[in-house]
Formats: sequence, structure tokens, C-alpha cells
Amino acid sequence: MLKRFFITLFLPLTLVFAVTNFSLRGVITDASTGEDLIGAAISVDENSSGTFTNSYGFYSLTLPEGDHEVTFSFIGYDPIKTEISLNKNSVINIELNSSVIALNEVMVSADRPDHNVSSTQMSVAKLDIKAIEIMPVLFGESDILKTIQLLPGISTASEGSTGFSVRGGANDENLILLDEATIYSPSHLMGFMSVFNSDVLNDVTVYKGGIPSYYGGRASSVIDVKMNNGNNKKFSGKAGIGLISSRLTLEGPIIKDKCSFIISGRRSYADLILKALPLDMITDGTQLYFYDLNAKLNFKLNDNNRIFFSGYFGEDVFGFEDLMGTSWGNSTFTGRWNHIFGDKLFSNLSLIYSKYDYGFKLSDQISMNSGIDNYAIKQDFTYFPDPNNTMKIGINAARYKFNPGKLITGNDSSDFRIILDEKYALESGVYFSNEQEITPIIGAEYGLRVSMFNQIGPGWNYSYDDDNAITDSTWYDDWENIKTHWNLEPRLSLNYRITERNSFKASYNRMAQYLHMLSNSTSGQATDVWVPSSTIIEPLVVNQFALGYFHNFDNNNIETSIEVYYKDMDNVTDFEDGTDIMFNDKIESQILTGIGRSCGLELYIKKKFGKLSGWISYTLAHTEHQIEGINKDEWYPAKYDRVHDLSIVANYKFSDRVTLSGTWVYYTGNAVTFPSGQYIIEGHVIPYYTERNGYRMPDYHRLDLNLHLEGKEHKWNYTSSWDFSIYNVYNRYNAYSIYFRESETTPGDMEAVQVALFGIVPSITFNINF
Amino acid sequence: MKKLFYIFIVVVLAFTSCEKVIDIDLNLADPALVIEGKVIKDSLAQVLIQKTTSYFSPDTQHCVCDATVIIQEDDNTPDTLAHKGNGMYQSTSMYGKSGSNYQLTIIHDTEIYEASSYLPSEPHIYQLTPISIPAFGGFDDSTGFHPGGRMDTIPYLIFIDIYDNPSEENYYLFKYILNGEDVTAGYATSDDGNAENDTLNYMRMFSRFYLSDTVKIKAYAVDRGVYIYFETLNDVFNSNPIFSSTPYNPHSNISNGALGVFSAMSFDCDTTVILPQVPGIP
Repeated sequence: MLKRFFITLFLPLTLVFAVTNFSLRGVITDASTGEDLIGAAISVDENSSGTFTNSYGFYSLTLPEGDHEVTFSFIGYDPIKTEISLNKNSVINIELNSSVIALNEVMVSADRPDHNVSSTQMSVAKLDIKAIEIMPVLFGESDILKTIQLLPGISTASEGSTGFSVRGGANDENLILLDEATIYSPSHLMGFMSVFNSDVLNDVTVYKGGIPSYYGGRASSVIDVKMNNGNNKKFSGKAGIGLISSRLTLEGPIIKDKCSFIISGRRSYADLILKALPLDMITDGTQLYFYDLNAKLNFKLNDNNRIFFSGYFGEDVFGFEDLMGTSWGNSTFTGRWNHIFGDKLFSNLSLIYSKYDYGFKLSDQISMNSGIDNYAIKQDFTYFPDPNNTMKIGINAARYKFNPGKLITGNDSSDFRIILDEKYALESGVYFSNEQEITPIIGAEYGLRVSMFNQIGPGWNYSYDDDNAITDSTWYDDWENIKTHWNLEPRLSLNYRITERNSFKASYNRMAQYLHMLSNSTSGQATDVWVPSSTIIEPLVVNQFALGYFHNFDNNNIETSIEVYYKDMDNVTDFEDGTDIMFNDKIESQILTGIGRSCGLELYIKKKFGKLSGWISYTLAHTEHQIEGINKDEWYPAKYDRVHDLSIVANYKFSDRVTLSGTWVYYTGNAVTFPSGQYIIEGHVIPYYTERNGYRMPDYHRLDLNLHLEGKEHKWNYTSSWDFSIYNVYNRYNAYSIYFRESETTPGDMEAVQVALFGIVPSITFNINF
Repeated sequence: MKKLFYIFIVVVLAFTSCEKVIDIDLNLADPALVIEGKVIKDSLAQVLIQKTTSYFSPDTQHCVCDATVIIQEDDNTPDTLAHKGNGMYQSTSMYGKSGSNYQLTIIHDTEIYEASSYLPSEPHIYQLTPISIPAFGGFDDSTGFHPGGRMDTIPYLIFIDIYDNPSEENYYLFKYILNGEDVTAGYATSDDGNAENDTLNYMRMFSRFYLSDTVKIKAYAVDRGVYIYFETLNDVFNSNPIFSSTPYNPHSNISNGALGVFSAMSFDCDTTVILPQVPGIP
């Protein structure tokens, strides 16, 4: 049986050598900017075979000798159909022209008209950056992390927040990559805006299930964000002025078609506005802003070699005079070398650095900081043996440094200080995967990742007793291994295409996560601290099974899907009661671990073209945990458990220049712990809790609108546009949190007080492209 | 301290956020026993027993008057406490003694609740030192945030030096009485992190007082179980719905799911008046 299975699997591999085959390879780019088109489709002889471009716009196909009709297509671009006569290994580089109807597209787009039905992948969404800009959002700042929260299975952590939960996973289980570098804290302004400046983004892909073995390190999802390379045809730019921030992007060729750059900056100016207001609390010394800086350089050495350097630096700053200051931010750097060996083997080598740090200073007397950084090296190969197989194999390693926190008061050594031990770790992985057309109607992507995590010296390692007192300590030197964790992570996706219009898909993935974020909030805060898996903290391991049915109507204009998933989780963490997360050197001993499970149903319907486009997504889900020491050891809902979650997104195009967009979201409240009684101790009312997360926050709903006005092309060769947006149109005060206090009207009684963050928030953004 | 880190968030939110009183249906939990037992050095042992009531509209009749309350000191004859009214039970003869162990047994509705507590030797407050912290100026609980900090809003900490018994594990519960007002204005607890043979301890009381306040500090020596109760109770007081961990019941040292605490303790008190002095942490 097994033998037959392998024969079926690898038969196509051997058969291809029976006839004379030649390879066809090349790069697909945007004709006007030279940007790589990621995921563009190459189909041969009316879909009899085909492939997609990889993250660098590269494709390779092996075809039998002879005449072929090849179509190169990408959503939002005019396809190119060409006849080729293949009698040797050939290179065809294609430049596609952006189609005039681009803005008609819905922002969550596939690569091929029927991609959602035909591809092996399920539980994946690719965002169209161009169209995200017309989505209505808080403060008028277009934001990819807000947009993905409108997809099924992805729920927002809290009002206006960029934090999110994917299929019952916590906020820290999302791997967020910017040009392969991990972004540890993807938010500005306490989570209300993401660090991603849409002006410099090329591609955003969200994986919530069936995650390929290429990715690893986080348990729930991958958000893979890639920056533009910079226009290699001509110098151009973009600028925008909004309520919160302004942006400027410049890009252009250094050597035409060989070498280009892009640089983009964004800065908020809340402090400038506040200073203009007659508030005595805001003085000239007040600082309250964030900024982002993105830059990328790429060199095309020749057809077989390209080099990229990209970097991101962003920071939030808040300060009052010399009295107090705090700042936090991410920085990343990625250097990459693409090399093509022969015609079928694509190689990429990446060197990556990323860092998050948080600092706080109070006068000269108190200062504190915490953070994490890592250096990583990755070598990935993609091998295109024949049109039915695309193999990936790779290896990677990363060294982490964790700074859980330092607090220093006063100026000399006699003063009070808490310095938590820095921790170090090494994470490594090897993976293999193959995407294979097993038969014309069955496709599969199968792979395996072996991940390993070593907590290493220098540092102390402690053992604790039940009272969290240290019982033993051991010193480890530089690079000395303290603890090894490893996991086998099989991944599988299957697609059975019933007809060209509909398909069944199934997937399984096992993910291991070795980094843990210590946080009291669901949405993520600047002060959250990362810690490694260790002798005490076991890695989080999640198994996910998903099934889906996909059906397209109206010539692929309407896409529908139904997906169900089940997840089981090992070593989900929570804290002992009253654990102080900051500056707690015994925090490891106060982490409790247990098991979790989540299941869900996701419905999705999308209309892609026409005057009216948009989508409706609905999620029904339940997530619960069982952790010894919490809720009398019984199952309880996770704090991000949300039963119903509905999003409606609609765009109506009145003319080529006027588009009205609206989003309406409705969800039932997250699980929360409220008291079920009270008593009095020494004159103080003390709440009496009987169950963990046994109550629900009130239901949430909100309507946002955006009117996009595209200006005419100006004689000086620039275009401009206006966005007028209204957040929370019907001014509903949705509950952000609820607290209890003694009633002001009936002393002795208690009352519940709901805190809402935003009422109606109008905003205007002006954009210019040149 | 923690509060400070979040002040800037509050500033941001202050511009838009809004509060309103809402109706929430809360379950009515089965009433649980709330026990406050005290054996204070040189005072008569007493135990107050109540029940939990509805959260929003507390019942005024929630005392438990029909319990059997027994306290045993070390291996001596157990003493049954008499009910004095309103759920208060008091001994007629048992005074707290340093170095003794006290075992509490309560029988009510066929359920048995037990706790024990050790009465540590008396602490001695050696010195109270108010310290001004100008950098915290302007952070005022009641009136909000004033950058720059005016003189009258500059807060003071009080450092407490205590002699304690080097042969015991030392845990403290502090209370303070502000300007003669007979209210217990707050708790701060601290365990003794110093070496066991060190008799002088340097405690910090991280609370705020202002110029010319008269502050009476009471330092209670307690055992570990009582310390944990008050530490978690303190955490419950200071909890904040946005930034704190999931709310919970303070960790009681009493068995069988009862709430409250049975504490044996000895104490010392001293008073200081806050006078102008040179700023800075010494």
C-alpha cells in the first residue's frame, strides 16, 4: 500500500525523463515600476500545466519540446499570451501592464481568476495593497493589519487595535514578517495603528491554516509582508497628509533596469496639534509622536544574481519636558542574495536582524528598559523539476537575546535596582516541501519541518519549589546549552477539484512555538516582554485540521467558501493569580501551562468585479483552555474566545474617480471575568469570583464609511486623491472595558461602568502620486 | 509605580474615551463563608463570620450567627468563642502571644473550615523617614496629571526602618492612618529580603503623602500565609480592568473554599509629620 502511494507520488517525476524536456524560466515584473509580481500565474496550453512566480517574481517550468501557448497573468494587470517554440532551455522575462480597471478589484485578491478553487492552499488570503487604501479606517490611516481582521477566522483583539487572534490563537502566536524579519510588536499609538506603511508594501499574504513547512516559529498564523523593491524605470514618489500622520515615499532607478531604491518615511504629529491647543498640560517640551522609516535597495547583477538590502526603523516617543520619557520601537534589517543555478534551481540566502525595545525614563532618577533582538541566517532552495512539482528545501538558524527588563533608580550603585537576567537562545530549522499535481484534479502540498530550540548561556538557570522559591541555580557559559526542545512539524494540504468551479480541500499542520510573550492584555502593549522556552516553560505545540469547500459563480466573479477547523494546543500558558509581569524575576515559576482546543466554522462570499464589489465573512468559533491551577482545573473560555464574528465590506464605484466604501462589523463579546457576589473586608468591598471568563462583554458593532475621490491627471504629471472617512458612523459607544464601582446615586450598591474609546471619528487624507 | 507606566495611555485616551453606567446581569453565586479571624498580641482573639451577597445590591443581613468557633493555642485546651452579635465571635480568655501557633476551627452547616497562623515576635519601628520625590510631582490620584509638578503636589514616600527577629522569616503588613482620621488608608506588604542575621531592615512604603501630613504607621509582623493573603488582597484593590491580570479571589489561608483570612499578628506603631526636606532618594 505504502509502496503504491510512493509510486503515485513520484511517478510524474520519473516520467518526465522519458521525453525531451526543456525548461522555461524568467521573472515577471510590473511594466511601469519594475516591481516583482509575486504569485503571478504562468499557464501553459489552456491550463494543462502552469506555475506561479515566487517571492522574487521568479518562475521556472519544464515543458516537452515543441510549440506551446503560454499566458502570463496577474490580477489587476493585462494578461500576455504568447506562442513559443521550445527547442532549448529558454528565458522569458515578462513585463505586465497594470490594467485600467485595477481599482475595481476587491482588496483581498487571488492571483488567478479561479485561484481560490484551483490552488492547493486553503485558509490563505492575499491582500491587494492598492485597494486597501480606499478602505475606511480609524483616523483615515490605511492599515493592512486592520484589513485582515475583516477576514473570516481573524478577530480583532480590541477596539481600534492592530492586535488580533487567528483561529483561537493568542496575539503572540502570529508570525509577522517584513521582508523575512520578525516584527515583534507591529503597532504604534498603543496598538491603534500598525507599523506597516502601505505605500511601500508589495505583497501581504496571510496564512491561517495549511501553513507551508517553509514557515515556522509561531503557532497560529503567518503574515508575510514584502516591501517594494523600488521603481527601476523612472523616478517617482507618493505623499500623503492625514489627520494623524504624513507620509512621503521616493523611489527610482540608480541604474535603469539594474539597480533601484525606495525610501519612505511617515511621522505622526499629534504633539504638534496638541501644542496648538490651549491645554496647560501640553507644553513645548511635550513629545508625542511615532515615525517609520522604510528603505530598500536592489541590484540586479545579471539574470542569475540579484542582491537586496532592506531595512525598517520605527519608534513611538512620548515625553514631558525632562521629567518623563518613554519610547519603543522595532528595527529590522534584511540582506538577500538570489541566485539561479542552471534553469531549475532557485536559491535565496538571507541575513536578517530584528529588534524590539522599550525604554522608560523618569527624570534622572528612574530608568527602565526591556526588549528582544535576533540575528538569523536562512538558506532556501526552490527546485522546479517538472511542471507538476515544485520543491522547497531550506535551513535556517537564529540567535536570540532576551532582555526581560532592567529598572534602575538613582544615579549611583548604592541605589535600588532590579536587573532581570538576560537570556539567550538558538532556534534552528530544516524543512522540505513539495507542491505536486498528483493527477489533473488532485493537488497536494506536503512537507516536514524539523525545528529545534536551544536555550543557551551565558546565564543562570534556576529551579523552583512549589512556593516559587529558588531551590537550585546553575551558571552556564557563552553558548553552553541549557535546554534543548525540538519538534517534528508535518504539514499537508490537499485539493480535490470536482469541476473547474468547485473543489474540496483539506489540510493539516503542526506548529511549534518557542517564544512566549508575557502580557496581561489581549491586544498587546509596548511593555509586553518576550521570554524563551526553557527548562520550565515548554514550547507551545498546535495541531490544526481544516476542511473546506470552495465554489465560484458567475465566471469566477463570485467566490464562496466554507471552511471548518479544529485545533488542539499543548502548553498554552497563563499566569498564577496576581502575577506581576513587569520586573518579576521569578515569572517563569509563576507561569502555568495546560491544554487548549478551538473549533470554528468560517463562511466567506466575495464579489470581485463590477460597480459593487466586496465581501461578507462570518465566523462561528469556540476556544477554551484547561490549565491546572485556574478555574478549579476545569475548562474555561480563552479571553479572546469570540462566538460570532461578522464583517461586511462593500465598495460602490460611482465613476472612475468616485468610490464609496463601507465596512460593518458585528461581533459578540469576548470572555471576561466578572464577580458573582461580594463581601466586605475591613470596610472595603471585595468582589467574589466564582468562574474564570464566565461572562461576556457586550456585543460590538460599528459602521465605517470612506469616500475616495481620484483627481484628474495634472499637467505637471502627478495625480492626487482625497479620502473622506468616518469611523463609527452611528456613534455607538462600544464597550472597551467594564469596571465596577460604588453607585453614586445609591450608596452601598455597586454599579457597572462601561468605558468606550471612540465615538464618531471623521478624518481626511490627501494623497499625491508623482 | 505600575500606574506611572500607563499614565501616557490615559492621556491619549482622555481625549476620546467616554464612560457610562450600564446594566449587566450577574449570576448570584451560592453564598460562601467570609471569615476574618484575628489573634493580635495582647488582645483577645476574635472572629467575624459573614456570607457573600449579591454583587450589585448587597444584603445587609449577611452575618453568620450560628457557627461553632474554636481556637486552639499550640497544644493547650481549645477555646470556644462566644457569639457577641452581628457575626462577631470573641474569646473571653485567649490573648495573643508571640511564638505561639493558633489553630482555628469553624463548624457551620455541617461544613468544617480550618486555618492556622503563627504569631511572630513583635517588630520594632526604629525610624520613619519621609522622602520627597519631585519627579513624581503632578501625579495625583484625585486630580489627574499636571506635568512639572507644583510644590504642593510633590509626593513623599515614607521609608520604614524596623528591627525584627533574625531567627524568624519576616513578613509585614503595613497600615497607615492619615491626619488622625481613623481610616485605614491602604496596605503595603513586604517580605524580608535581607539576610536572616540582619536585624535592621530597610523597608519602603510606596505610597504618597504630602507636605505637613501627619502619618501614623502601623507595622504588623505576620506569617507567610497571612502575608500572601494581604498581598493578593492588595493586588485586588489596585486592579485595573485594562492592564491587570484576570481578576481573582485573594488567596485565603482558610480551608474548604472559605474567603477571608485567619491572622495572628503583633505590631508596633509610630507617627511622623512630613516636613520640607532636600529632594532625592537617599
